[in-house]
Amino acid sequence: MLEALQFDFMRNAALAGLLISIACGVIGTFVVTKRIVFLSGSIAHAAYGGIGLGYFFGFNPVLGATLFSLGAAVGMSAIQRRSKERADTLIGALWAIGMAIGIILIDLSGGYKANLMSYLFGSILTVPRSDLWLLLALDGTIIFFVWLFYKELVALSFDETFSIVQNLPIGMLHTLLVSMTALTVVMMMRIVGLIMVIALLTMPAAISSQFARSLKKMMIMASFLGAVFTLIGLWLSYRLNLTSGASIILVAGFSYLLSIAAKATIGKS
Amino acid sequence: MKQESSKLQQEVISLKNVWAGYGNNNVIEDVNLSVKKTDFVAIIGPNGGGKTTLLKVILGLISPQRGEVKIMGFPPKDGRKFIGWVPQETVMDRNFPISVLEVVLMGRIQRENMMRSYTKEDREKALQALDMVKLSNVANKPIGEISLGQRQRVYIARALAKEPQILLLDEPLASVDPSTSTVIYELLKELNKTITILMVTHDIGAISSYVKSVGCLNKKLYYYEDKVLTQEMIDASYHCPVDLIAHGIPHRVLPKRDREVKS
Repeated sequence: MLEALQFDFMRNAALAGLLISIACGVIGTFVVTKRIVFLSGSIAHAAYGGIGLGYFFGFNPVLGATLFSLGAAVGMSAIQRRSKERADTLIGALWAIGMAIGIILIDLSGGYKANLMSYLFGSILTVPRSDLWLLLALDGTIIFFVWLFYKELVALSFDETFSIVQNLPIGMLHTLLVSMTALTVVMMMRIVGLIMVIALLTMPAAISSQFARSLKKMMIMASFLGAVFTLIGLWLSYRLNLTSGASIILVAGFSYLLSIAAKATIGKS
Repeated sequence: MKQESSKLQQEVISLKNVWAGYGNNNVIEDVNLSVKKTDFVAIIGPNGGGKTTLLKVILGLISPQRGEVKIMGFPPKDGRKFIGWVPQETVMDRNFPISVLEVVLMGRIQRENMMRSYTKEDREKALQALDMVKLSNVANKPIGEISLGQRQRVYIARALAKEPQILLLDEPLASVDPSTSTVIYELLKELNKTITILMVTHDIGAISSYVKSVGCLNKKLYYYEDKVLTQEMIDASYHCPVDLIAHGIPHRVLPKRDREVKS
């Protein structure tokens, strides 16, 4: 590991992994407990439409993905709150439509598209320094909002109906939560790629949910686990010359399965 | 009954000719209900009879298609600040990592104290509420590690932490064993000295001597401000009265045959 960190890109990658783990742990906790995993997956894939938009009009695809995913977040949050019955179908449709728009726009834009794969599968090894600042800003923003609205977000996640009866501005809180999820998802796209974003967002939180006794502890534990998985995955990918995103996901995935088995064994004895 | 009516009887919940449902499908039709201060009303009725819809209308979660709903004289969205809401235990997530006390504290949340953490007073009120339901000893336990009956009482405590005028309960005794339901009823009876209680249940056995009046809801509401539950009411709201008798109806609620003929 230390030998790997001699390289500038490895240092950046490790730092990026640590920074994203914080956002991931905090937001992943809400995604898991509020059960908006599907919604988050949809946002991640709809973001691809923004990447296409960036390519087509010649601006930074990450900016396009950010705008597109924020738009998708606000829209889907509204759909989920208003139409309870068909919400998942609609969200599933937006998932595919966003992705399809991205593919068509990229088809139409022509030219050099070598970077495209990095959005799908991630490229933590090529994360530039400027992205680290962006990740730091994202962590700061998320921690600030979650700190500010902590008890309201907990209430919303635990019992939405009760929160409405308490006259909380549910629409605003829900949109805030989903927007933060969208921003996290876009930043994570750089690390593991949009296809595997959801896995890294949910698995550390899912593991901690089995052991943590409060949402706060779950967030801290999930952030810590996320960092460990990212670093181990990164080291494996360096030593064995494997794709970094997939290595990270597999480390997280095996840990998740192990934790379920461990929990089941403890529960039995 | 006479003693009560001599008191100043403020109307706390009022539904006038309320029709509600989804799309063109009316779930409740022409419902009239007037709940006075310190009433203890139970609404029974079959599943799908509109009990949940009735609660949603009172809580302002859905708007009635016709008619008027008033809580303490206000429209539901303003009036619900007086309501302590106790949901069905079965719809809650037991694996949520949260302590009993934290759940009860949620009762202290309002729009006005957003972006602030809980105050000392909030904690005191929450602990008081837990004491009232006799669960102070499990305050720091995770919600998933206590029994079903205890969880039901936690949700009552959460509603009480709000210091409500009205308690609204959705199936408070669903899947609770008989000894626990006695505990909960004793608690509600005690609370009823100052708080108005409206509960819905599909279990007719739940209508015990604690309840002051009973209504039957099956699309239409058959409500009398007497505790007398007539066979007629049951027949009208359920289609299969035989099944209900098999549940065991407490004798104190059902009138005797001769009384029924008179009424």
